[in-house]
Amino acid sequence: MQRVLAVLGWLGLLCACACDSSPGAMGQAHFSTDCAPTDQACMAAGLYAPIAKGGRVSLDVGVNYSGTAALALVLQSVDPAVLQASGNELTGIEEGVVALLVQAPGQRVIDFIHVSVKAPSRLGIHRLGSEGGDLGELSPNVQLLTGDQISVDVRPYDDDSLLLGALDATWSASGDAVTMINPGLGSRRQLVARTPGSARLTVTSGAMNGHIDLEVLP
Amino acid sequence: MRILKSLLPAICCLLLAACGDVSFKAITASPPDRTATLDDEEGEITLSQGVALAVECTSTSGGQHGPCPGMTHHVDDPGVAAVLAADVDELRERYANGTVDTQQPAVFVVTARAVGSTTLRITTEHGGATLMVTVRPAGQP
Repeated sequence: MQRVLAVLGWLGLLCACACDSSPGAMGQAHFSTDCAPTDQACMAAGLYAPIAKGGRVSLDVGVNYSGTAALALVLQSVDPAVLQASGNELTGIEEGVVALLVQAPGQRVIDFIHVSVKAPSRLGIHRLGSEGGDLGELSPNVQLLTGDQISVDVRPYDDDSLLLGALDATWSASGDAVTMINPGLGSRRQLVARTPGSARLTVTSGAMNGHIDLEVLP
Repeated sequence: MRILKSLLPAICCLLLAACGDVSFKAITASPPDRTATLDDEEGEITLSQGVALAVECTSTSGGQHGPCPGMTHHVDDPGVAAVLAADVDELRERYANGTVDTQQPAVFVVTARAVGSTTLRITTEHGGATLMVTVRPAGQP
């Protein structure tokens, strides 16, 4: 039974990689964000939302071209004033829609995809799983037991719609109830509930900020 | 006179080639709320700024029909639009004097860099064609 489940798991992972990511306009490339290895929902989703202005997205690009593998691909934005491409990293610069070209050696186009860039209207604080998978946005009030540890990260939103992209962010936590650790993984933070009490966790990116209130129970 | 007679087939071939019919069709669609269209009859490509359109070239000349042979392209104003050769993982039938074989399609991608108009010139072994490329502001579908 365990073997069957393992095989099904791998099939699901392969399908997530090859089937459900966003296809290019010419049907020869598929695009997905660089997800945590165990985050199959992320892998299956592809480029499921606009990229946030100021957000950075690491892109995975696969090519379906018969008899060809391991092409040295180059990503090129048609309008770098809207979207910049450097290696496999995209950065949203200004609001707009722009074609992202996938080029093989010799600048020959293999495929392209149109990408939207949108300015975020608010920041959301998300909880991450132990492997980095996104568990969703935290509610404004969170209770922890003394000794609990959780990983959090900031996500850009356009009202209620999640946007793509990692942001440059600064974090602060009031009071002594929690200790915040920077694990060195971008804007991700680890929170450790130390003593009973309350704290406000605030994240700031550009002119926006978001916060949640934490209550640590004995 | 003898020299002229011997050159006649070659001259006919050249004339036929020059008068060949070169046609185009879009093989990708417009993104939502933006324009990326080709009107082959009018010889016009209309794009919103920032978008791309893939176009396939087909030609007919002197009993031959299929992907444009020896296609090259040139944009008069590369600040307005750019054109790049593309590779497509398919084969198309080519008819040549009663025989059929297969070739890769002749495809190029036009990208809209800045608002304005320019001329795209395509040459093939079967003759040439020009397409007027118009790039509209991004907010104007």
